[in-house]
Amino acid sequence: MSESNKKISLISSEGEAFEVSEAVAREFEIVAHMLEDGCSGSSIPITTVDSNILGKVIEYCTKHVEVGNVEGNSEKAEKDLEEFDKRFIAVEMNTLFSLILAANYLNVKGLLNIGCQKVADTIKDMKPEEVRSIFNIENDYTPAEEEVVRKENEWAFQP
Amino acid sequence: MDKISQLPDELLLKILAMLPTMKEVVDTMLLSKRWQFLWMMVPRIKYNDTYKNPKYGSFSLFVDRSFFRHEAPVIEALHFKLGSICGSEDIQAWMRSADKRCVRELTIQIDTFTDKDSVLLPWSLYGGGCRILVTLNLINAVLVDDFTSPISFPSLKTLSLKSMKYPSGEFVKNLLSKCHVLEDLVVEQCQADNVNIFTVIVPSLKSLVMKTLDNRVGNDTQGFVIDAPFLENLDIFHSSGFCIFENVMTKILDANVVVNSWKLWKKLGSIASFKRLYLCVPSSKDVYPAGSVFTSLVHFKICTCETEWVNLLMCVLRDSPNLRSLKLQQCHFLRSEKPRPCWNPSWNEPSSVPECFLSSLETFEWVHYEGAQEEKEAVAFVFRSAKCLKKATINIYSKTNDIHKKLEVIKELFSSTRLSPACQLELR
Repeated sequence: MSESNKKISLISSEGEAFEVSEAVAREFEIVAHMLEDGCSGSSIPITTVDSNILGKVIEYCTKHVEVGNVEGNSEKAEKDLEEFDKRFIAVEMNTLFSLILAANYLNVKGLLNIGCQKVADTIKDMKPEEVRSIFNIENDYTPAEEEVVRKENEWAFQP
Repeated sequence: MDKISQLPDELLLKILAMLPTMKEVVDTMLLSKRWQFLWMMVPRIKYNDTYKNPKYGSFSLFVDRSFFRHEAPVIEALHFKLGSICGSEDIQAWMRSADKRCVRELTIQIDTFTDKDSVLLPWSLYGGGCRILVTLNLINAVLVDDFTSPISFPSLKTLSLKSMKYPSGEFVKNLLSKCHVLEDLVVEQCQADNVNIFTVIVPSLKSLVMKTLDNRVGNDTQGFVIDAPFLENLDIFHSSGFCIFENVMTKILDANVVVNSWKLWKKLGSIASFKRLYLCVPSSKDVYPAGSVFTSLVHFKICTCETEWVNLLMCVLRDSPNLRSLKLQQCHFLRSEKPRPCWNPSWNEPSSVPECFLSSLETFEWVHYEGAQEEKEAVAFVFRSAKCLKKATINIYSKTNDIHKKLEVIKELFSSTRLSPACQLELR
């Protein structure tokens, strides 16, 4: 069987198997390394990622492998891929952070980048109070402590 | 704890590094105690004095303090985008501080456009930091020659010099000769940069972009000399003057050549290695040595704005037996408003069909097709002689937006004879 047709099962934390082509599995750098290290088994447990998130990561990698395989027409393909990424990462916060953690663990660099960029884009035009409320960050500074931080870093908060 | 604060430091720092400037990064210290000191470790620092209109005093204090308190042992990237309120003195002071830190990528971009306010970069200020610098981007500043001792860049792989002014051509030559591992060089020359001959002698160079942005008077004293035998990618956009290749380059895979004058263009190197080629040149003669064959050429693009494009196209087709994709495009953004120099190059039916038409050419694309006589002839020739064509895409352009004219062009294209039965035709 040629390498590109070989199938690999990725097993989610719930034990659900996702069958993917080897090319897609290799997009997970962690899997690529296992394969290179001689791990020849056809099923690989991904114990820290649940089915919902693993399914999404596979969807992302499949799309990127598909587009990568098409020769020529690169400008259009790139644009399409950008559109896909934009839609793909427009998810609610909990899913976004699960995707970031999964991408980090599985070492899927492209997905990690668009995930982190999405968070940065959300933060960038907001005041600290707004960032706290969007991400549910509890402000554990007492008012006095916050005042000290502001005072010590006056240079940072001048209008 | 909330989801974001649970992320490991490494990921939070990655997110912080993606914020537009250091101001947003520093602001996160107020979120909660988890965030209080994180900003000091951000691996990429970007300062921009045009962003959100800061005041001079507060901006300059902000840079001083935040840079002083920053603690990451290695700064992956340090960017200064200045010019609206900061000047030479500020950047010189910051360069002095940066010199003591491990910076891998340094960008200094100046945004002022008057000569009066040019920002001077005395090179000695950065003498110590050069050792580990991998990427250096300088935009729109004036380099000052004050080498007390020769500065070298032992790790520099990528250098970009855009709209810079230099003490002299000799200075540039000298600077580049200190970059022993340089692989990527981008040069955009501006007017009055004090360099008549831009000399690039860099044996390690793999990719070179050379652009002249002004309309230099076409005298033979200005131009560039390139000696980079291992070059793989060459991108030349040159409005006039000369261009000399000192050494035959045998490794070039990808070449974009857009030049206005064809003087002294003798040694484009060994074209046998070219895989991708884009040409826009005002001549079809002596572009490459007679008898050469582009054995590796797979993708060819030609600009149709020059008088001689048809003849040049025919030459390259004749000499490229393995060509797979052909693209024609009037892509000269600099001259797109002006009429083409000559809009009626004579069409000479080639005496024989190019080899690539019989065995390899699969895709054909034409952007900005107007349906002029020689364009019609060229399309008809491709359609009736290319045997393995799989896809032809033609992007029709009509100056007057005349819908009837456009329909006529479409009708004509559809009714043209195509030798390859499998060829898809897409009209846009």
